[in-house]
Amino acid sequence: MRGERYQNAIVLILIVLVFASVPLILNLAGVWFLWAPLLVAFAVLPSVFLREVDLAAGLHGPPQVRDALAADLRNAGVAVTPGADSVEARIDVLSAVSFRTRITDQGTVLSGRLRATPTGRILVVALMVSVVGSGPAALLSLVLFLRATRFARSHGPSAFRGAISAARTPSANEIHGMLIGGLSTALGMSRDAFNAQEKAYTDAKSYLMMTVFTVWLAVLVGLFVALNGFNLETGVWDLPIGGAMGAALVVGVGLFVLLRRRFVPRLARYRTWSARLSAAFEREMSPTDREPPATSTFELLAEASSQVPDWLDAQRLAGLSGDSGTSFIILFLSSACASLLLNGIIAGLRGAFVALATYVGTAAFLAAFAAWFYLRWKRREDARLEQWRSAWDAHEKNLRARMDRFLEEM
Amino acid sequence: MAGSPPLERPDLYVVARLLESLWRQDAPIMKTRLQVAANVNYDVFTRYLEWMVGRGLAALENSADGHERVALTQKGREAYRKLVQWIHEIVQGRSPGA
Repeated sequence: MRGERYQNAIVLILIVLVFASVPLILNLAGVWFLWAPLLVAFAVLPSVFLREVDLAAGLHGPPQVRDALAADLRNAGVAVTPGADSVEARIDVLSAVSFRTRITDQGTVLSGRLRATPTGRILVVALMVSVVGSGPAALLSLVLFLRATRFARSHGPSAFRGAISAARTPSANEIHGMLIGGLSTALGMSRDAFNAQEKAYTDAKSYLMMTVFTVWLAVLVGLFVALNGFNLETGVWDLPIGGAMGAALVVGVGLFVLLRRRFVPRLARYRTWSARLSAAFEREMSPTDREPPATSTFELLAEASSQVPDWLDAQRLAGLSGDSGTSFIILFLSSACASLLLNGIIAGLRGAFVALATYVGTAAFLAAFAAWFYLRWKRREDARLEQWRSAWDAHEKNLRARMDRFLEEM
Repeated sequence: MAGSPPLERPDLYVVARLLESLWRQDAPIMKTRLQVAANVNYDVFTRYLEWMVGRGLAALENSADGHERVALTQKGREAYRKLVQWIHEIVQGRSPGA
């Protein structure tokens, strides 16, 4: 696991552990030495075994990188097990490093991750199960991780040694370099577009849940007040609960269908483009693959360049999902607003109308501020992307005209 | 190659496809193989080949096995380099900051 996904997973585990530790601190503070090492081990183990570290990157084909790495490791006397897109190197009886290659816009990236051998796995599990051994298990895992990281960093760069394709002439290398550079940029853009939309889709699903909850609450309170007045003690809840559930279901399903229709085709398009460009990139970096590709790389790049406005649009349409700072402020304001409204509703149901007005008034002010903040951000972002897009359009038009003229002049 | 009407305005992509196929090979290649790589029918292919040979981008060579082969000339290589450079510039110049 790498980057943001790894950080999110670890943060999630830590949050769960913090919540789990509260009752332990309150009830079993006296025997902390029994449960504290176990909690520490539950934090340390995933942190070291899930972490995948990028070691090196370069314009070499993934099989070439894996072969060079395996040869270097074998020369150093390390036992190597090749996999589909990885090479596993055994460090000792307890641990191994799994080296993995993947294509990115920087070329082939080699990453490494600590793996426990079967013996290592049995030992760690046995220590954890014994509870008293959880502290040593955490310590052992940390030591193995540090050793594996050192090992991976010392051997990783060896995978990128040697010329890419010595047989080519300087002119061929120049053309090849430009093809790879173009593919790399296009791949980066298509992946950025995919990531932006994927994040926006995830965020939209969270907003959907919030909307469904708000609808449920509003219908529940609205129906209750309409049927019983402001009478929290003796009012009947059956119909409001049924109505609220029905409304929430209808709104939830309807919005979910709309979201799918909006995001899924886009995501599929960006995924297909990334796969096509990634395959072409891999082929270009493989010195042994001299067969002409089914689609010419030039054509693929020309086709990809016509997708650039769409890829830029993907980032614009992703909205706040692409700007974590602004989205945090908006989320904070929205949460405060929702909390105030909820308090206002409760105050209203209890007949405290002055408190209701205060809560609703403050919530309205916060909502207006959030809306102003969002609109100002959106105007600025739209202007920036529009400027990018028009500059790109002009640039593209100019170069395409030059290409057309070139053929005519021939 | 006689009999086909000459090309008035060649398609850039077909020309690039032919040049790329030739550029990828270290030696002259057979016409049928080039036609398959270009993904056009034989009539269109011969017109394009004629056009390219006429402009010095490709050359025809007779090989010992009796088959006619096509080779990329220096001018053809330079033309392909220019096309790749332009498409590279289009993709790279995606934003004012790039």
